[in-house]
Amino acid sequence: MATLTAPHADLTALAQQAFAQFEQGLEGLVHGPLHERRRQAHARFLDTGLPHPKAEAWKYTPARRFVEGAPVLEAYSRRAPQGHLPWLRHGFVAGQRANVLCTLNGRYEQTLSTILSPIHEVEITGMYSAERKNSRSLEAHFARIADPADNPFVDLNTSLCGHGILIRVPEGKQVRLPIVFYHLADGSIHQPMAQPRVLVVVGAGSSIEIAEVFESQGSHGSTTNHVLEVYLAEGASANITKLQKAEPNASLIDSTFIYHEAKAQSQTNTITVSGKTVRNNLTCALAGSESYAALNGLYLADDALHVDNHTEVRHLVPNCQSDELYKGIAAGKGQAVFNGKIYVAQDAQQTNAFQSNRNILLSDDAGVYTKPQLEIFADDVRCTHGATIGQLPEEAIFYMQARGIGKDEARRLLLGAFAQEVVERIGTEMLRQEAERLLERWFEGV
Amino acid sequence: MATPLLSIQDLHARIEGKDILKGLSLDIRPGEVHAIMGPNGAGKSTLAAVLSGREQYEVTGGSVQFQGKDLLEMAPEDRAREGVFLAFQYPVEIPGVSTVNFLKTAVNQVRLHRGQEALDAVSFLKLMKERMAVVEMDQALLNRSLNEGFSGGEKKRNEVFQMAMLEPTLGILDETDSGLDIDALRIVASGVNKLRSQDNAFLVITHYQRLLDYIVPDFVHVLAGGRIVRSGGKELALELEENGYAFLSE
Repeated sequence: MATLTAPHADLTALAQQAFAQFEQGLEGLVHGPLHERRRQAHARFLDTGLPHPKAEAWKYTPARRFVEGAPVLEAYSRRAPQGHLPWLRHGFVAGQRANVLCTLNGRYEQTLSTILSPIHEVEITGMYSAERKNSRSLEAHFARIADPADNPFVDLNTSLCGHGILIRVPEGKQVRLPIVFYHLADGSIHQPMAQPRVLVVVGAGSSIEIAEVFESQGSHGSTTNHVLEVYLAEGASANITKLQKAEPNASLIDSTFIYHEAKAQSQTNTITVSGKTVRNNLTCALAGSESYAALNGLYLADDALHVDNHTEVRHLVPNCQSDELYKGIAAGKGQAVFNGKIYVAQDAQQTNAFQSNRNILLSDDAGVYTKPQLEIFADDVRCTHGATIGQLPEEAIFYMQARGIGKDEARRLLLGAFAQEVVERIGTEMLRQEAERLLERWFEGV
Repeated sequence: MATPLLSIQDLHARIEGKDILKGLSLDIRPGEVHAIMGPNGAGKSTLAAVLSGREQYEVTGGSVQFQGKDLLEMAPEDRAREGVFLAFQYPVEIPGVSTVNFLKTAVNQVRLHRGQEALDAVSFLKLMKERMAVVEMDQALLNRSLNEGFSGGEKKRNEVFQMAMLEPTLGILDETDSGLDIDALRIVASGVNKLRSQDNAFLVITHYQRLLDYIVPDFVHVLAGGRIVRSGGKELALELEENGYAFLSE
């Protein structure tokens, strides 16, 4: 039987067109230092194109899935926001004490955003105006933290980036209110391939709490190709939660790069509950002594959602620690992928690296591909990893039934307990509650 | 004589193609405590498993009536809701689910089944505090994951505590004494004694006579080869303790 492949667009041709248009709109900025990076990224993307179907990093999640149909590559535009956005007024974030920053098809929409934190705590700027003002943070870190190796989508995003958001926290500040990004893909007019971009620069000793919510609407479907770069100066810390809850016709490539100077700390929680195809790339570079990265993830694969988490922890200097816990549940014909790479450089002695990936399969047709990938060049390290794939324990279900709890309720309790270990690590309470609500809804359905 | 609460008639059951129960009959009336003793492999735990509805066991003949209803037709959770409680020989550890949460769900599902209103958080905690005293249960233990890291004694106390919370009509204790030291045994047994009433009944399955010093039965049955081969009063337990099961092979 012949394999049916959905039609997909020639992305390099689209990128070439979009880049040419984008450059025209940039005016004087084409001579600036940032545009040189965009140009290089564009050239690299044209050169590499989409990852080959046999490329190891894209083996279980073919890159062409993200360009199925007739995607419209969205570059910089001044178009007014489309569609109506009920989620912004009635969603879980409405009325909360938080900074809410909205991107619509990749473009930062200031009119849909609310900034409550004072400017001496955190500066929030559109990248377009930051670039015009020759922002030093932008120049120092834009496209310098993100690594396009094995991930051409990063170059695609960089080449078309002019409408992202820059967050800068000065030294010694605690940003008290969380910053919640709403990345909305609107496929109500056509099928966008959006390129949202965020750069967060946290000064020495400062701390920030960030949430990124990915949503979608519209019958044409969409692809979001997001890049988040985070730079943590000495002793800075960031708590990042991602809540990926797009519609079943919306795909997402979410590439996040966190760079740690000495004693910097990060925690990233990636929660994937819905969407079509979701690919997460999370890279934490521990580049300063005694820095720390925690990587937590929870993913729910089902008939609608294929989810792939590729993580990489780079231990570059001695005395750093990383803790990684990813948990997944696959139902129906759902497929999930976890690839956890831990790299320990030759100098990075006294490294502590922990990794755990646990999965539950709820049906015979569900599947999980899990792979720890350890590249250790130092000899004095503590590195543990473990991966499990199992089913809900029958004995525990029977025990609950023997106490009068129905079988379905028993399964829900067990799934909730399984997920809780990750969910309880979400720092922002409103996000934790929203994640719990979405999980419960999912558990009801399987 | 009162009508039996539980009436087992000529029960046959097998697991993995092997016949274990071969014609077991037993009537239990309200207010009675029955002990089932017998050598290893006699079918004691199979009886508990069949009564509580474990799927792996196949009933090949006979009947079990509980308060006039066909028990074998019911799903395990419905048996529990109707008032059958099995105290497990090996209570299951469930990481991530606290005893409190677990019991609140269980108590309310049982209450709804009985046409009672669900308890709110305050009433539930009040009930819990009251019943904790039955087995000297520690509050801190209840906030932890269910049975996770509990000692053998703590697990068995938790079983009796759950029984106190769910107020069953028939309590089945499956080798509850196994792995208990004497102090834990006393606490567990005294908990069961506090729950005894004229309206409920207990089926105590045990290999040793020791437990029956504390939970004094009205009837003792010897189970061997999948059937009850001898029945008597509490003195039968002492006789078995003294002479063992040698008479079975005579």
